[in-house]
Amino acid sequence: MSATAVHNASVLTQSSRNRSQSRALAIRFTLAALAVAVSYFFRWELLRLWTSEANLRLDLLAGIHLQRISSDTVMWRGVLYRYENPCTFVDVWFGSIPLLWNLGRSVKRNALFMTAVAAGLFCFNVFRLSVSDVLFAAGLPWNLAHNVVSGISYFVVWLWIWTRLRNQQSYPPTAVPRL
Amino acid sequence: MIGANRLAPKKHVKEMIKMKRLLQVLAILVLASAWVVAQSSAGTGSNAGSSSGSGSMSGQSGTSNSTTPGAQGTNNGTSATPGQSTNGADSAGQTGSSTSGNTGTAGTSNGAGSSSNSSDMGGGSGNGANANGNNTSGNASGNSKGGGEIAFGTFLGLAALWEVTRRKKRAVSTL
Repeated sequence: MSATAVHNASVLTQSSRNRSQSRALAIRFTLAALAVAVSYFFRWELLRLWTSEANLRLDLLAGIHLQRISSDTVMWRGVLYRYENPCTFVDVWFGSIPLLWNLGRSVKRNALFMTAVAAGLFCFNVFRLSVSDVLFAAGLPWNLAHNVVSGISYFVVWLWIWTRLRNQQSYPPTAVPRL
Repeated sequence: MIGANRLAPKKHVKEMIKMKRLLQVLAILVLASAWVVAQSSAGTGSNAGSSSGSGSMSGQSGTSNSTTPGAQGTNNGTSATPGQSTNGADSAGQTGSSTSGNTGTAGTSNGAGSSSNSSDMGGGSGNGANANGNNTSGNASGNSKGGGEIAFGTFLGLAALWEVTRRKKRAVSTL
């Protein structure tokens, strides 16, 4: 009888913890959606320039010569390519902030981590842009070479975020955040 | 009594698992819809003064303030208000409007057309005439480096596949 009671108590404690985790997740995802929307309030001109420049240089290594037309436009074989907000992954980074923010860590550590994530996402994004350019140059249609590759890239980032989120939830934050 | 006590938590756990799954689906949907909204707004956001890709425009140039991605044959390039030329020069007086859509014919525009479709936008095109909404008649056609619907579909498909695989694995492990 007492063993059953203990078992039941532990299950109930776990279920209440699960409930609070689910609530926290819901809040995080709502914030993520808002963050993505906020990222589109700005044009991110400088980031577009950096992304296009890095993409241009990486493409050059692959033997693809893009010609710069403006800060966010390049031309290749008479076709113009424009770098918009999604091309910079800025929306992905914004959306990842609420999902990756660790409540058990200090603001400073979180900020440092998010800076590292930004750098990582920038490199990953430039890499996927160049991969799609190489595929396109190899003769694949644009939809397959660029858009499908983009979808796969978004999914890879999603997987990484989800895994981190799960790991974070396995180790709940300490009661008092470290400063 | 004991049996009832044992059953109650099990039911609760099942409910929690269901809720978690629901939450996962909801999370993907919320993110996806936010992304779609953001993507569609990205097109309109990049309109003003966005004829910067028109390096090859000669003489008369202007800015096209096009919106409405995907709408066929409507308003894909009301162009050439002289004062709005990003090239600044030689945009004297001659205004026109290109009203061609994806399938329509180009009007006689003196400005450079610039469509900002989220899927197949272009930076700008034209030689000072015949600016087309989807940039087929000018010197250059354009592509956006953004994702678009196909990227979104790919992402959703992969996410669904991933979820199904996870569920299968979980089902196998509980057996």
